[in-house]
Amino acid sequence: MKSKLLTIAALCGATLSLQAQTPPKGFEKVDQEITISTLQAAMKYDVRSFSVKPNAKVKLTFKNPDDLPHNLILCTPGKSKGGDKGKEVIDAVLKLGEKGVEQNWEPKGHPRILHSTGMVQPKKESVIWFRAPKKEGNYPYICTFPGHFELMNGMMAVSKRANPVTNLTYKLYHGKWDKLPDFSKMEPKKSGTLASGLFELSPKDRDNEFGFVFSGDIECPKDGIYTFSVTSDDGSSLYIDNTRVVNNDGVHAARAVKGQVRLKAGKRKIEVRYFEGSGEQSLFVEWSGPGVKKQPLSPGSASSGGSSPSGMLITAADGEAAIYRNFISDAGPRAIGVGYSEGVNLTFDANNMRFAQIWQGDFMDGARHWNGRGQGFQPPAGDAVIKLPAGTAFATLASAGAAWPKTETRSSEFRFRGYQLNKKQQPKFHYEMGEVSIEDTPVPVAGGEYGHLTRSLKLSSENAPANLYFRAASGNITVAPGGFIVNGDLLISTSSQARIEANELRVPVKFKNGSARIELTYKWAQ
Amino acid sequence: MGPVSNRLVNNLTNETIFMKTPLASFKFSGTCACISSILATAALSAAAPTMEDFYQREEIPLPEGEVMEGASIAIIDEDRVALATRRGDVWICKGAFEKDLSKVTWSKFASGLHEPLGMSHKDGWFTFTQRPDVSRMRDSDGDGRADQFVTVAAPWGINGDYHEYAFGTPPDKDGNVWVVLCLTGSFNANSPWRGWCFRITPDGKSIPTCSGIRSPGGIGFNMEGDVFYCDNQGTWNGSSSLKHLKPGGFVGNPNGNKFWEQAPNMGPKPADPKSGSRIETERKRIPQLVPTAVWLPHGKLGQSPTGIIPDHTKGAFGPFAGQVLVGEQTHSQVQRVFLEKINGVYQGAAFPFLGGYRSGIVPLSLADDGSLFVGTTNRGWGARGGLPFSFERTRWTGKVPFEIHEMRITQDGFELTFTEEIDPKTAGDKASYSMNSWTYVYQSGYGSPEVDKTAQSIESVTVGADRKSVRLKVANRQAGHCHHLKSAGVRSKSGGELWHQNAYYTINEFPK
Repeated sequence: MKSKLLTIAALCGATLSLQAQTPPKGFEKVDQEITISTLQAAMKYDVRSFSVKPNAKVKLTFKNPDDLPHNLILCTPGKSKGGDKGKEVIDAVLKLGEKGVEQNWEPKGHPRILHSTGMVQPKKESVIWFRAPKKEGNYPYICTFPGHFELMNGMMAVSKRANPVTNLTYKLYHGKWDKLPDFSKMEPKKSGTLASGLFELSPKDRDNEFGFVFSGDIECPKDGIYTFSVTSDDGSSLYIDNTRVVNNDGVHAARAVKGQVRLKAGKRKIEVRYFEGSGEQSLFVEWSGPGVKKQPLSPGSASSGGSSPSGMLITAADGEAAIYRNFISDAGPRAIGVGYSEGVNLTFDANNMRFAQIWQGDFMDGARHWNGRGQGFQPPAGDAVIKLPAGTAFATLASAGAAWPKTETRSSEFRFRGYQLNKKQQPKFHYEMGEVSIEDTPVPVAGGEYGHLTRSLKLSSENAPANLYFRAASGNITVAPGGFIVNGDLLISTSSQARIEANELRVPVKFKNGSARIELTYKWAQ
Repeated sequence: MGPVSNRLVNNLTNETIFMKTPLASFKFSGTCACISSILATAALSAAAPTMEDFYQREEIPLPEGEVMEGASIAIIDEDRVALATRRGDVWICKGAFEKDLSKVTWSKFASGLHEPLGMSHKDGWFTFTQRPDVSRMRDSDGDGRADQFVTVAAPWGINGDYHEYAFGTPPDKDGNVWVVLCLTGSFNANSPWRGWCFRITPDGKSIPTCSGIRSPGGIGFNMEGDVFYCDNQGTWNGSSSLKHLKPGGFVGNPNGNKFWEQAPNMGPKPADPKSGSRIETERKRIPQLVPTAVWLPHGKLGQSPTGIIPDHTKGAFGPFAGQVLVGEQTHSQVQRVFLEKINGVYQGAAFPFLGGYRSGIVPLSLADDGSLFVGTTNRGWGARGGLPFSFERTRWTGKVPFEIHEMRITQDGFELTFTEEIDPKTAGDKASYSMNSWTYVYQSGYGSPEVDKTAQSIESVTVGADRKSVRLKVANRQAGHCHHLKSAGVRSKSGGELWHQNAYYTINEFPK
């Protein structure tokens, strides 16, 4: 069905992206609009980098005022984490050979293709609507018309710190200064793109006696007075459209200096110059203005000096799992966080004996509970968080379609009995529901772009209940090859018989000789 | 040491004045040319004893870069001590009993626990109390890391409020772990069973045991095996204090009493106390109300009492065997408490004891050989000492400090025993003593000023035939009051002054 639509409309695109002039359902209101245009006779995109928030609804308008046809294909980061700029897809285009023309130079079905505008003829434009990936990272976009790629590529950064700075590049210089030098007369040691739009020192290749010039564009939403603040150690300055707005020059400890400027709506050129003598070093840029609340344009925070991490990330030792029992958001006060070195994580809720959520990347940040008195709940540190149903995971039901018992803070039916760690420090949970004893063993699986989880539930009882059900998921559940897609972001498969009832994925528990097993696989749908 | 200099000392030994005179600076610096030789002699004889004379406090080196804020301590054997941290790690320190502490080694036994504020070790198993439950853990495969974590019981609720701490004892003689549960936000019982004490049996039964808890800082036994906890100044608790957890009792804060109906073993629910009253008044009306065993007067003797342990060492830790030691977080100290039971009710005296720790003490543990281990932290609640955390060992030097050993109530006053033979002249002089008393408002508001202040007069002093005790006849003693005894003039037989002059005796009952 999908491929048919794509062929007939000569549109292209991967899962869940749509090319249309009018917004598809659910995209009437988008989180971010971006327009990328080709430059006439220059073989370039005018926007070479931009950033979006994870899972944001995006409207991307691709304009082609050039005299040649061009397209824009958005790719996954791939093994090189975006470092190959999407070349893997270009290699696949070359392999198309003669079929290339009829396929509009697009290797359809290539695993790295996320979204495509289709080939856009001269003086035409195309609009695509899509949800940004949930996983933070660098997503290249490319023109696949033969010979264009080398110059026609760009980078979309998916970042929680997404911001209106585009085309941000850096030049790194070496030298010993006590105030900002004239960098324009020097040869940079290194240069590159910061697709995240964040002014940061991470591209530095030494700890003392270096300087940076960062330049890019910033989109001002309205006419009005804008405030820029630069905190730096040592000196810095900030220019808008070649006029200095912030002067924070000289050798000093981290210090914030602000400047204001009246700007017209639209794209303005932004440049930050910086140098470091020796010792501590930091850079943190922030802006605010009409329609813009104080927004950081650097990682970290002003107080942490921007570049140095302020968090207390908890990480598993190599090849092992880490356990974090604490108050975890959406997992309750008796949460047991498990972070696997395979890059997948989960929380077990020992109030209701359920997997509360699974996610990828960083595990947990201890900063909330390990500073001061430690009030409140801490969310997972990583991304692609998938919440699993609140309430108990097991229930006895009068019928397969009966309503699941109402969620309580803590079910009195269950008793948590603890966990056993294997040599890799990975837990096997043990709990009881009445006379049923349950062993619940999650196992991380490394591999591919994203790791995933398998889970084995072993139930035993001398007095097995007849109508016990396990609730694996809830929400918008559809049958898909190899399992069930939940809310578009989770693929659950199970060898047991599972059914969709009352918007829930339920597995009837069938005891044989006093025992029952449920095997599950949790994968991130992409 | 002649009588002349003794008399001079008597006149001078008013703490406040004394510290402000040049004599004090002479005492510490050892040089002051402008003072006459007689005065100088007097000052030397009065040189106040310091802790270093009697107890050696040492910091135990910690593994580089690790944050080890003390939560609980378990002695494993004669070589190893386990320290659980507020972050939820359990570390094992090997060599903690060696003379040279620079050679200790550390290994991480477990991590990821949820603030384990109570831990003990027996037969290869650690039993510990953490925010969500009472658990046991052990290393079943011998690789030095815990792998088996068994939840024993979790009868109470938590909701994400940082104040919902759970402190637990080592198992009592029946194997039961006693747990005290802080109120939600230290004010209400929004989660089930906050403000209660549970006994958790070895097979996982939960027995509601007392209500009335506000904000505990620690829980432990006296030598008789009865259980006490420290509650901090706050609502329905005029001052920080040591309270007896008498099964079936109500220890003062009524906010958790709403769960009483769910505890049929507890008998009838107590009547609500009247705010603005006194405990002494209310306990006549509310039979379940167990009066505060010993006030630890707020600001005078610390202000955040924590862990409780009995000195079971039969003298290895000095002359106070059988008494109770109480940790203190804000002032980074250890207090000493003498308890006695009068008409079935606990009461007794609190004395200042050890100090100078590098951060606020939460757990403390005493090994058979007389090594006292303390874990400290200043996170969330400030503390003296200058470090964010430390792990310290204290040992008795073998030198007996001249101290009031015990303070007992008698028919007509108090009996004091001393750790050394006393100078009968000063110890027998009623001018060597002074006493005043006060109590606290029992109220729903936070804390209380000292109220109902009363002066007691020392009518007479009788020196015991053993020359190690005195009987004070005291007029005007007050039930429900904290009685502050100052024994400034008392000297030992050898002329030494008391290491600590102040004692705070709480009267609940008069001997019949």
